Amino acid sequence: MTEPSETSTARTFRRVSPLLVIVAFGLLWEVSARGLDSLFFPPVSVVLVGFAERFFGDGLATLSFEFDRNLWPSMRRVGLGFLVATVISIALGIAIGSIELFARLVEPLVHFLRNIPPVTLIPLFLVLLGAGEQTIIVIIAVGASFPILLNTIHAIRNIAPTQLATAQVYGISPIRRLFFIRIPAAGPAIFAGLHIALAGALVLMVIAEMLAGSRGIGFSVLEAQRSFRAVEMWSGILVIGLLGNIFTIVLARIERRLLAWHRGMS
Amino acid sequence: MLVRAVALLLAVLLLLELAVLLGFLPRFYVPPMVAIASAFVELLTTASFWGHVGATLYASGIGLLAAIVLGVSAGFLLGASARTFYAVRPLIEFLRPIPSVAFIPVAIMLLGQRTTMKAALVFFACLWPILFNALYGAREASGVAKDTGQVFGLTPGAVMRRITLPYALPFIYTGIRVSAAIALLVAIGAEYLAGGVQGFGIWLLRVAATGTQLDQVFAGVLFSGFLGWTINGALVAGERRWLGWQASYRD
Repeated sequence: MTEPSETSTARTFRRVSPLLVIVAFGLLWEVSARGLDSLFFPPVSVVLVGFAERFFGDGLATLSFEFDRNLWPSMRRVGLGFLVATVISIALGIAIGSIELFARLVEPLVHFLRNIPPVTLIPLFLVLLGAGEQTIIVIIAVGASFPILLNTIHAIRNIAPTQLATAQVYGISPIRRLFFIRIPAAGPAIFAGLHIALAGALVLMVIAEMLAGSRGIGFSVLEAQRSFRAVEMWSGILVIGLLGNIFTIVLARIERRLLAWHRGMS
Repeated sequence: MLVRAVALLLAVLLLLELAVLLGFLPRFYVPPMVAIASAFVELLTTASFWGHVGATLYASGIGLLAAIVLGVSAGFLLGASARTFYAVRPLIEFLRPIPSVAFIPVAIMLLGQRTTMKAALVFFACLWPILFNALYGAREASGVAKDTGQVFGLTPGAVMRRITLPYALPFIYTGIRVSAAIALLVAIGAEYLAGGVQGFGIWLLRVAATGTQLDQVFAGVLFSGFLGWTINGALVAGERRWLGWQASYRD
């Protein structure tokens, strides 16, 4: 049974309803904040104004100041940590997924280590490596590695045997099979792991900054809380949310580019 | 599998120990393997340590439970209807990438240091994966299955109960598994930042801060690994038991 085609009213409703939901959400925030009248829970209007002032108050000067002091350190940490995690985990994952002997050696250890909540590693690394920039990047990298690693291993290993057998019959060497069949086929799963890892990287960035950083957006949120500057705190949270969204969208764009061939097939 | 994992871990530690003895690594970085092992055993038999662990697990448990209740019901109801799904989706997609840990300072501000603060944070953090999975799980019940139910005379409520819900359950369960890991993470993170008296994170940070009890820190990290492993194992076993009827299990 097919659905009757959408009426134009239904189509308009579908387009407009998300905006209504968002506005309703904003109203809820505004009303409850004004009602509660707590120092720590400013209404959304105040937060938005504070946000605009903080970043655009004096024109480009404030923007670049905020950027240098808070935004860029955070972005750099996440970017570098995530990149390092990606490169190492994918390489390691391919190795483990395709070389049986190596897998038998290393995999049980991987499966135990992945159960360690990455936050637990933070004090350990702080003691071993001090409280510097590199430490934060290392923490992010280690924490982000496991989702990528696990997904890569699983994907490289579970490729359709028919594909591999066909390739073998055609005389394609194992190395070429690896690079031209197994790795591309693992692409979607790897990117799924990358998305999960990105979320984890953001979490670790925020906690690590709050604990050990001296700059960065996470640190500024904590600092604002400690100085009871509620509006600044909330605008910082808004920024973190925006950063998270931006990174996610960028990753999705890259995924769409690299996996364009895959979408056509399904 | 676990035995092999532990054996490997010991092998790695042994290698590190060798590196230290041969002069490659400074002693500071790697406590003797024996020290770590004995610290580990000692922890397991220290009542105060379990007190800390218990406090963290208690707070995460409450938050997780609340998140399950609210997330499943809200996500399921919102996802069962196409209109509400499309209406709610952009807002949820925007809120989803926000790391819940960013709200730790807010929670500290509003709720102080107590268990309530931790539980509330865990609730907020775990709500999203569960809500999200319930939402998308409810959508997964294909039109054909639902239409078949309608053809057979089921009321919309019955369709929801007998068709959409079973379809969504595997997704919901995955969301719960993900949230269980997040719960622990967020609780420990909150403990780092808020301080307090009881909590695994508090204990770990305190021990690490002394700078001289590295063996205990390593032991604590290992313990958290075992804890995570146990929790995950329990959830996987539960999945096999309650959701074993899924097609993916039949082969």
